Amino acid sequence: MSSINDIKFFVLLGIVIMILLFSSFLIALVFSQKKKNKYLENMRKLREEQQNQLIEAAVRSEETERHRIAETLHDEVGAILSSAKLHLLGIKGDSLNEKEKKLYEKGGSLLNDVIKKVRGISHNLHSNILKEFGFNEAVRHFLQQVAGGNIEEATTELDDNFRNKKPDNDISLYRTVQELINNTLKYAGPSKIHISSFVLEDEMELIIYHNGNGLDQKQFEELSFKKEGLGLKNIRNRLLLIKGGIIFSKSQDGYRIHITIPYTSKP
Amino acid sequence: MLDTLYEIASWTELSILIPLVIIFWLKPKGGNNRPLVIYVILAAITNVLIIAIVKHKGLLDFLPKSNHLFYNLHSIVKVLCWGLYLSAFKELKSSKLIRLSLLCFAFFIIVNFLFFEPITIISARLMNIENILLLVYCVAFFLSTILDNSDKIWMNETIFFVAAGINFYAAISFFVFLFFNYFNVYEKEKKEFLDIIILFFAYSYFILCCIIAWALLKDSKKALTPNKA
Repeated sequence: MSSINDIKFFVLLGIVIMILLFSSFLIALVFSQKKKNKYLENMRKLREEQQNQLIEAAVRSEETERHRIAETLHDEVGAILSSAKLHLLGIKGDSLNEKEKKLYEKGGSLLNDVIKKVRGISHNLHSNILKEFGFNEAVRHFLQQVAGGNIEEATTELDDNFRNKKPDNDISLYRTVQELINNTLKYAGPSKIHISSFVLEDEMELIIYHNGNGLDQKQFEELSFKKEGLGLKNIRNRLLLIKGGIIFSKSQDGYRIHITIPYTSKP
Repeated sequence: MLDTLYEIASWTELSILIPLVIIFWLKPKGGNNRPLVIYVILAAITNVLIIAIVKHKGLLDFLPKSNHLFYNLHSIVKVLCWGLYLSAFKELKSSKLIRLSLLCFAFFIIVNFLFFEPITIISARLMNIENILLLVYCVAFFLSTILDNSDKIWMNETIFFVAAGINFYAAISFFVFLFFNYFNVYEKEKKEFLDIIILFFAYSYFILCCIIAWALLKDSKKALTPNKA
């Protein structure tokens, strides 16, 4: 009788010990996995941080270079061109014959065009308006500049509540819009462009609409990973830096590019 | 109260129908879960026959009188399918060991049922081998996950929880079947004790079936969710 009880006890004890052993083993394992998870999470954050630093450095150096080129164009090339214009104006038109007069006028008009273009390029590269008047005004000004030619309608509807606390983020967003509009003009051939923005609770949404032949999200993903797609890669990097998102969509009336960036109106 | 628990326990073989419903509902694509899907389908067949024989004695003439054959078949299916499932991730060091032991198990089955025991009588030896192998598989799997240097977090994989369920089930059934022949005699005291420990075994199987169903459900949903660009 006692032998049966011994075996019963052994069986029950065995089950309990097995379950306890198994439970402690499992708990140890869960802890080791959590530790590994934390380590991997830290590594991921570190990698992300490093990547952001690299992108930031690249974006900053690009911005510095833009400034340098803009200043050289404005101060040196612009000054030489203005001086050339002054010299040209110094020539007395009365002493010229008909053929020379035509050449003189043509030269003057070309020189005026070059001065305008150089000033335009210089302003585009330099973010003076952005710094002095803010993002919305810079976008309005930029769109005014590109309007004309094939563009019949270039309008904006920007939320004036948008006041970015980080000027560097403004530059990244502005350059993104510039790049997207330039690409649209170059490849999509639209006749209408409309830029609108809305400040939401914790983000700002900017929508670029055009009626040309644009990109959808899949095409954007494919192109931005191609070696040649430097502009789209830049857009990706700049948005990555400001933790923004971009979605390309197609609808019946045209194409829309939705850009969202984290934003809070609270001080 | 105990009678109700016994009555429910006598039906727990049918808890395999829970993951079966998930399979027919979501039709999982297989992949690493394929052995698990095969197990659920085969176990559903054997378990339904086991219950049908016990609960409808004499009503279904085409069925054999004893359900022992199906218990043995279920045991073989368990080792083969769960072994293949736990060795599905080839990057784990345990994978080769498990596969090799499965070959040995297949050899044991052939030899045991050809020369030593009839397959139509429940084999405590088979059950013991089954539980030892399952325990070894689970421990080998868990140790391999600890030693694994990849970026994979095994705790986030459903296989981790299914392995835990199998380990829990095998830990209980190991001692149940270790003394199965000793207690499975016409002695009231021994029979009563066997019934009690079978109760643990039955409910642990129910828990395992729920974990399998959850794993299949989670993996199917994961497969249906498109990756964000």
